[in-house]
Amino acid sequence: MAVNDIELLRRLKQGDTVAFDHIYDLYYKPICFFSEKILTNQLLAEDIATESFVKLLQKNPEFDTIQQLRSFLYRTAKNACIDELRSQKRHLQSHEEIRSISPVAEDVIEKALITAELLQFIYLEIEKLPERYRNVVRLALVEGMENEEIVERTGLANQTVRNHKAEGIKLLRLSLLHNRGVSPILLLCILSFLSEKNL
Amino acid sequence: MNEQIFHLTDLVKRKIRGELTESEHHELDSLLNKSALAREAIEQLSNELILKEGLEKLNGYDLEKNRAYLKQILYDRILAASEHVPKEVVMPVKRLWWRRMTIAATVAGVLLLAHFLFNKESQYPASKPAGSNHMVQDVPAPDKNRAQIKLSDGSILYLDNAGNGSVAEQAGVEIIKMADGRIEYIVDDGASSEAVTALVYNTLENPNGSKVIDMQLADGSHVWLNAGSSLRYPVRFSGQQRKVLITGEAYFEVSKNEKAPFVVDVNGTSIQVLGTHFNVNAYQEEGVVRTTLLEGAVKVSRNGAELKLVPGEQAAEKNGVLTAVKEVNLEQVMAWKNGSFYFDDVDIETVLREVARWYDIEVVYAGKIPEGHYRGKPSRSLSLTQILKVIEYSGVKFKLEDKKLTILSNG
Repeated sequence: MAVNDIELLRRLKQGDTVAFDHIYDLYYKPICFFSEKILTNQLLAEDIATESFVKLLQKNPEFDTIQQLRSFLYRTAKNACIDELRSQKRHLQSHEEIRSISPVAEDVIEKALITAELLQFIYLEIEKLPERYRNVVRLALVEGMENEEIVERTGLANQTVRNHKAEGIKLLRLSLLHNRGVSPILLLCILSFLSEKNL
Repeated sequence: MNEQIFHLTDLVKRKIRGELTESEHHELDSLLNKSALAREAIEQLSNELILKEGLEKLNGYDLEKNRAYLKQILYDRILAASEHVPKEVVMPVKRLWWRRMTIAATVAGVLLLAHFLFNKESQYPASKPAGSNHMVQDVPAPDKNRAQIKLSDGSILYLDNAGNGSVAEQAGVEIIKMADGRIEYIVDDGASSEAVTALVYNTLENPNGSKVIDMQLADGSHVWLNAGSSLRYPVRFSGQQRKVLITGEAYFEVSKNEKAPFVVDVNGTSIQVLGTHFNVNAYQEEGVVRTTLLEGAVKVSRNGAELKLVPGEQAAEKNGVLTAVKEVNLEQVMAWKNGSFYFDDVDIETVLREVARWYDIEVVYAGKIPEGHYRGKPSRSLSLTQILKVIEYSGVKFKLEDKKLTILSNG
């Protein structure tokens, strides 16, 4: 593990507010996303994400790696989501059923986890793009703007917007998202995605 | 949810960055071959529409909505960790006539008027009167400002260490420390304004036991921050709103700008103004967010409910519910900024919460919380033992050591 991470965990343990901010900035949004995928309710999801950080602060566990801390946050959020779903279903089922049946499929949870983690990764990668591409890519992918809106917002020429967007997305190397052993149908989807990018 | 899912996700991230070794490539391939679910999740992100939808969703979560709440929990934890094991302390034998007075007050069930005690500070010199040696060491009133600014890169600027003049530069904005300790953000007009699209945030934190700090933001608005409070603000405002976040207590004199309303966000309550003077008291431990208007107009909203205030009115938010308070004692609300406490028929806990913030002490109650009410306007420049005289004379026993005040019981 990087020296930086060890130092970060040490400071967090001591109650350093800057270290806490850093961890919070890294994980709050993806944990909101993860919880909302399970609960399909944004306000509840934000509450659960916040409570996960409350538990982190109150328990203040010892972590050897930043990955352990991440697991702790996701696991705490997952358990809270399951509790929430159980309490929502309580009036429909007997206690026996509640205890024996998980209210949400493990598949849903795992998929939510992968999606949340990768989205946050891409979100942060966009911020690392060279400045000239970053703004356009951000407006296009994160703020969901059409090319014309970006032209209006930035004052750049239409062709420049297209070029910056295409170049920026190429730098993100998202094409690598698909696996090498990919099926022909999926490959078609990806190719159409890529060609769309290079308009 | 097993660790392998995390491992797989981390491999995908490193693949996108081009950091995978050949053997890790094989590992990822075999993991993906085993998990149709992971393949599906990853392939879905290859679809631009799904990717955009996800990124927009992610971006929409407000990082600031609950940050202050979490910070408060962190501060509480730090405070709790600084406890020391108390030593035995001898309580003084109180003079009898004080005792009688206290008993009379208690029996009659009336509030204890400590007003005259508080107001005659000359009567209580800083040196300890005979017989009150239970206070191991006095805690002086805050004599300087110990505020710090967290800059956009996460580094911290300690204002008490900084000399006067320019102390930092943030996104073309100079941070100046004036001779009187005031902090000003000065926008360099020469800097190109189009370069600035994203907001760059700084956070001013004024800890407990620190003097009130006065700051002028880049738009010319003035903010005074009480002890135990924080303010998060963009170094330079842009867009259609001027939005800042606070915890604790602050007084604002907002410069007029009809085009960009000034918005104060405080733990879910939003205060919107155009240009005006108002005070916000939002200490977590008080349980109520009080917005008091002195001049102009403000709109306070919470959970869809709205209150428009006229000068002299207050909006009180408790447990998510807004209530209007029509008759407000402005002298009381503004006492902190004018250098005094102002207690008007309040219980000992209310008095000591405010005292704790100002002197940066911890207050614990060893037994039943003493009854009785206090009234008075003591100066904030008194030392802690001078303030505690009143508590002592009301018959409450306590001990003070290592900045920890333990209230023992009624006398």
